[in-house]
Amino acid sequence: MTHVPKERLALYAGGDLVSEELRRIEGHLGTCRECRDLLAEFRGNLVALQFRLAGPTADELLAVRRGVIQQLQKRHRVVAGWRWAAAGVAVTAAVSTVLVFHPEPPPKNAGNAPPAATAYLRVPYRPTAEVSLPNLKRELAHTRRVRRPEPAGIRSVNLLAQQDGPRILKMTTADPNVVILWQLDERTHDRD
Amino acid sequence: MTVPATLGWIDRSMSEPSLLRDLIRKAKGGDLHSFEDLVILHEALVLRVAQRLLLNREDAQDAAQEVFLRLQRDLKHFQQERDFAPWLYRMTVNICHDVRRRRKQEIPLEDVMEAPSMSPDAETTILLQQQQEMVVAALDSLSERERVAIVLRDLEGLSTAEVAAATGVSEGTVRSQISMGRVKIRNYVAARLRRRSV
Repeated sequence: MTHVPKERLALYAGGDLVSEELRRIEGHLGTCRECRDLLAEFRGNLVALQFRLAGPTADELLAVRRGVIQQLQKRHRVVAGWRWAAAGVAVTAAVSTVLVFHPEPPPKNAGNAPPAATAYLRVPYRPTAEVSLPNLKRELAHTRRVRRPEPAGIRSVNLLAQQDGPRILKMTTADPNVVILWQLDERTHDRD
Repeated sequence: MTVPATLGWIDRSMSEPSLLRDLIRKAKGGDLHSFEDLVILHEALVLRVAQRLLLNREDAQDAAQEVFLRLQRDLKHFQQERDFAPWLYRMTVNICHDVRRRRKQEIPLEDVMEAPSMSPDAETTILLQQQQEMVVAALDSLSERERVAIVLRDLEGLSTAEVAAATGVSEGTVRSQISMGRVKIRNYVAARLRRRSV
């Protein structure tokens, strides 16, 4: 008679076999005393283990719980202490900074005021001279000859004569969109 | 007073899944009271497994405390959609493994558990106690993996799949470890009994 291998019987003892093999072993056990004895040994050992290692007592459970909670509270206190210490250091540093450096207060409404408009106006110094067409043309020619004319400088000057009205100088610039009309003072004209 | 051993995932079903989920969520958020409730719900499971794996009361107590302290630290890594019990079993098994390796000392087997009186017959009682001690010594002689498989399957009552989930190996491997462990325990006890009777 072929016995059930120990390893398979060990699995059978703990209910770890599936249907087909289970039925085969059950059939064999009905006829084999040796295998039944071995099965009884496996099951006896299992019961002995379960009985001997039944579980912790209530006192042991309580001791574990107390130990865990004490450790957690201790850890919590340490963390809280470190937080307080860090906050103290931060406050001390802030106060020291204020006392030592006295930073000036920001101007009122500094945040709301619009940026001031900045305009640069360059007016070259010229001795006062009578404004007349020849003078202006001479001046322009001089400017072109002596100085490098700027791109936005005056390009041409023309005198617009109006009947019974003031005379006007028309000056064109490098920018075609900019034309200067200058009404001449009659007194100046008279002197010219 | 001995707390009765629970079988299977009874600790999981004992605490309503929604209640447990709520406790875990609050404990993850730093609520100490919720964490204490988690400890109360699972202390029996953790200490029982630790005693069965370490076979030493003091070591088991230390290991159980360490499990809960590490649980508090690592709870933020726990994914809520997973089962809590296998995760806790795994953590317990790993810490017991560390404790056992750290304290390579002779295990006073006589101190493992109080032997309850089973029979009025003194001789029978002594024989039973001796057999129980032998079985526990046999469990202690197993390899780490075989011992874990036997404790989780035969003493904790987990299914093969649950043992596999808790130990991180395949079901086939678990089955092999259980089979080998049971055979080794049987051979160990049988050899001692034969020697005694000669």
